[in-house]
Amino acid sequence: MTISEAQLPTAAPPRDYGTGIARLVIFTAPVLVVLSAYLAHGQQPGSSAILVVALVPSLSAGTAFRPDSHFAVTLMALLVLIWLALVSDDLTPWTLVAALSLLSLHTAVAFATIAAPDALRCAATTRRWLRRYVVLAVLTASVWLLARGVHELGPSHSVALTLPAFAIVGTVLWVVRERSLPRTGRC
Amino acid sequence: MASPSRSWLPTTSHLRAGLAGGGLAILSITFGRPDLLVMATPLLVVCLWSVVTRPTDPPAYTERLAHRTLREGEATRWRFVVEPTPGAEDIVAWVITPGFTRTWPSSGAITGSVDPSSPDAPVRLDVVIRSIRWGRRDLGPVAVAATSAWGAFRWSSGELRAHPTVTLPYPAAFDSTAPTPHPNGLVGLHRSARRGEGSEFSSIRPFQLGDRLRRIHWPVSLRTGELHVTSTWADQDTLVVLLVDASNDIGTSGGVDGTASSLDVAVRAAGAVAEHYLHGGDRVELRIVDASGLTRLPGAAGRHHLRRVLDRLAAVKAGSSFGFDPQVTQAHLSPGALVVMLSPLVSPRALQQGVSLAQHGFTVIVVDTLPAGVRQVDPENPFAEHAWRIRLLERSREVHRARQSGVPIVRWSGPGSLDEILRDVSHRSTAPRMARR
Repeated sequence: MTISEAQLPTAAPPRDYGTGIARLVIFTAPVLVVLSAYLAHGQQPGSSAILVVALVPSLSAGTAFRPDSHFAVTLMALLVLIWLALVSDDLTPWTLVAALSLLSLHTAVAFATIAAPDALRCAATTRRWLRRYVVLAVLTASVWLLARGVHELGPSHSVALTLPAFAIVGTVLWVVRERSLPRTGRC
Repeated sequence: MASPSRSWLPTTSHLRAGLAGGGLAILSITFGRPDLLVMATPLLVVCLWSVVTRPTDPPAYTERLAHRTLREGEATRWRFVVEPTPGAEDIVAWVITPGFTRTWPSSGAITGSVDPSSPDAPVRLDVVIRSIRWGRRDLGPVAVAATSAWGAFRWSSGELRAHPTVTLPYPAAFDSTAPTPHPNGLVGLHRSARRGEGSEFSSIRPFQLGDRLRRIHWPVSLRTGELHVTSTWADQDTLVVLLVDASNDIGTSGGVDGTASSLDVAVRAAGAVAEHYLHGGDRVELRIVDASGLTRLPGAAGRHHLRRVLDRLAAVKAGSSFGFDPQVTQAHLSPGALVVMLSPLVSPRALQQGVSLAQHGFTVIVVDTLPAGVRQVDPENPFAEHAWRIRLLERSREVHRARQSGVPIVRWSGPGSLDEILRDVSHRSTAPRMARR
């Protein structure tokens, strides 16, 4: 039996707030990173910095409307450059805000790419992504607290931690690279 | 289940997390910047999480369109069933539909989530597709994709083939109580011009050799002292020839819920007339003049024939590569057939065809299918509207002349559209007339 007119889904599909929220985050998170950098910096930026910062909204717009493109990685690189240019070795609460904003940006862009922007997303998907974001946000806050603690111990401890940190990051990157490559043609 | 075709590939999200996280971590350690490490950590964790939970095997899936044949306004369901593999989390299915279809959800794309409590349970995704205009069209292509945790790896089925579907016209409401002019078949519901075996009372007359005994009318026979029988009108069927002029499609079609173009009116009216006469036991023949030339469906009766008629009407493509050639269009036309010609009468040749049929002695009814208020607006040609108005004036003059020459022309208006004309034609059919052979 075909679906007759009476059996057609007349009710509007459930409102999908996930895409809208993701777009909002993609617009606001980069602004928050830049704002945090200025607040951590505490000085008026130069004219060249203003020019660079002006690129952020346009890249954000590009990322929001084409999340699967390389706009997002360019935007993140630009944000890191702005942070490096303005902030010098600071573990103020603005660092945590910037880190959480970067994580929000990445999560929102990744969420936006799992389906077309106008696709109807199920609520379970949105809830799962939100839960995972919260887990990572808590982890980021913990790392910030830990970094502040280690930083207060003094430079000698920092140097002692550098070698294992290199080893850990190197191992993580190697594992990521190995497992990310396509597995076609392997035994 | 269809065989999986592609493997899981890293996405730009995964690349971004790896580059940004790794770069920040290396910068942090190199320059002794703990703030960069704080920023790098969540991205590296995302990256690590993604690769640890990376799915290995492509998911198996099936996709099935529930119905290949629909009526206008009816909907069907395209169902995707995906059996997820460990690590797959979000399933997306999408359908690209042609014009004159509506989908639910409106984008034609829907996502589903793998239930973490039962990760092996199949994920079912349904896209409802409603066809709003008659015709043959391909639904699709469709595709299914799945993503892993954090959208880091994606598997896609690739574009799957489209399915050809037929949307049968939804016949307009039509009914007629008028008799058909020349019933000439052996069986049917129409009263014949002759007396014979039937059910409708005609008269009581003296018994003749060959009369059935059960027809004897005993009260009259006893009163008159002579055997009398009840005579009846013979029940006969007729051949209705539907001649659809699809050489032009005037107006804009908004589907079954919207405005109707001239071809919409013609196709739905033809369906309605065919349905009416076939339910009455008559035979219906279909002749279509469209882009592919003259298509002829021989006359037959019955419910299955209605399906054939509707199926043929659904394949109509507007175009005038053939045009009306009276010699070809009238070929093999049974004498006594009732010809119902459906045309917007924009082309003078269509009207000439109607007149020619009438001159050859056929009973013709021309149904004008041009929708009211059609305008031709061409922003690049300021004279288009004037030209169209001039053509309409010419058309009304041609219609008037055709009426004067004895061709009945009526606008399609649903039930009873043909009643008055059929009655007139029936009365006229009993009078002597001159026909050109």
